[in-house]
Amino acid sequence: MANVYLVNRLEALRRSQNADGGWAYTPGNQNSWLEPTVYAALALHGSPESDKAWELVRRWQRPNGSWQLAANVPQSNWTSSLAALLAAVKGHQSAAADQWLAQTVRSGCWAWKDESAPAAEPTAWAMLAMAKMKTSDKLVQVARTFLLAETLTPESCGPTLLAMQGSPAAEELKTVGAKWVAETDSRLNRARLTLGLRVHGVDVTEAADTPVATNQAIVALEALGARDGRFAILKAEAAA
Amino acid sequence: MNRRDFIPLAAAGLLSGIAGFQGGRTTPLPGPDSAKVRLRKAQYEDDLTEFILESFHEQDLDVTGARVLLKPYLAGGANSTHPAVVAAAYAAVEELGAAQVWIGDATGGDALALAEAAGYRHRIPNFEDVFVDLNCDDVCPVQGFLQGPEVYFPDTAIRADLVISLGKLRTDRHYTVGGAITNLFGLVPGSVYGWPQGAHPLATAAAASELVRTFRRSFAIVDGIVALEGDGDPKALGMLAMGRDLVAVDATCSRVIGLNPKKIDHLRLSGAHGVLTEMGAEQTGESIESFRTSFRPASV
Repeated sequence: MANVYLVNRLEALRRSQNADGGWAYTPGNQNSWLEPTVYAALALHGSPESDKAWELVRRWQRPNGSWQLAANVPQSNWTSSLAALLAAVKGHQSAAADQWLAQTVRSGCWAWKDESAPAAEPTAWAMLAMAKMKTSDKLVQVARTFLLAETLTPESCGPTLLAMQGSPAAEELKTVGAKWVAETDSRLNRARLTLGLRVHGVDVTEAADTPVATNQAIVALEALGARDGRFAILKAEAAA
Repeated sequence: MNRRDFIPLAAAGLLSGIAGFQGGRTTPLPGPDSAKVRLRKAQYEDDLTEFILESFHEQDLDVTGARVLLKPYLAGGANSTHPAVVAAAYAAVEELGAAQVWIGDATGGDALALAEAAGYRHRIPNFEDVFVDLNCDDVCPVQGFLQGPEVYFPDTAIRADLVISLGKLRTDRHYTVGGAITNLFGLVPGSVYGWPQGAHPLATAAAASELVRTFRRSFAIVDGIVALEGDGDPKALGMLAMGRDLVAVDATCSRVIGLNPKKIDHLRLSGAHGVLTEMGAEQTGESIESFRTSFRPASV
């Protein structure tokens, strides 16, 4: 029997894909953005839509290894880690991306944007990307120390769960994450927490009649973390 | 003049208000002569729409045919701009014939969730259609911000003919006092600059002043009915502060809570784009003295 929750989200994503292969945050907006595009490409991994998205993401990589963050925004930010993660999942190792990640680390952690203070979420996504790329293991270990010292929040817990695969701290994170996923008012947080928990083998309730969100990043994360979603491609040991 | 008298006048376009909202025409900055600040005794149960319309009328603000962005302060639950204030501002601009009204914010990664936690869904008609998570907007570049490279802002904010900053009067650890001006930081898209808005590279006193300059087609409605002191403790003040000049409004709010605006960096710098002095602003409604109190500062 089809998973209605997942099917509704995948259909919504297919309907809202832009002609250039990417996704806007909001359907109907003009420009594709890196963040929803990567999430959607992961959620639809193995489909022609995902391959088309990946072709766009490849074109958006800049000479320094980072990625532009939208069709009309040539700057980069933390979402370059997401693109590096997608590249690894697609089996395309990017030495330039690995170099960019190594160059942007500051005392063992990463920031939302070059000039910002370091933060847990961009650090967690960078760690996951590096783990999937199977490079710079030393950096990942240092970043784990940073994440463990950071105050955990409902915003950071989901990405931290993804980044802490294989760590002894994961058990405690799972307990906290399971509590927050039931309590949070934010669909974005719930989607990220669910994804993090699923990767650790924790089942999370999903209501088939939950309306599809407007925010395409949320739709894609919910699809990726759905019970029958493609979340397994984010497991640290998963092959490309 | 009551609301019933006022609305037909406004609808007939007889008010000599700010011309040119339609089409995004840039209007001049409010000069010293137009820096009226209206202080109003208010409670959330009052007819706040009436109070806001009074202020619009007094300040010759005609929003007929305009695209209006209402920008509340979202900080989670009761620390946000009260839904009664947001709903009243929404009703006021609707009644005056605004062509389009959005409620939008870019605070946090999920502004919609913050707005719902603040109780807006239950108070705003068609909330789902009206609310814009500005993090999910397309963006367009603004040149010359802080004389540096281009800075991106949400299309909705740039396209709006008028931004109404629905700030919350509060003490702030970075800016000493929060009001209409610091509320504009919530127009900076996290999709480009990350979160929280208080920690990104644009979170400086100089940037606050630039936000006033960039969004000069603005109006301030500061919720001081229940303000926040210290690190977010509620303090009943029973006050709404309103005006076209964001600097004058926030400077007045600072005086109300016992602070000298000239000693507050972002207000001092914003003085280039509005009226900072008490003498320069025309006080209407209640006096500053009728609300004067002191607030515990936020911990640093």
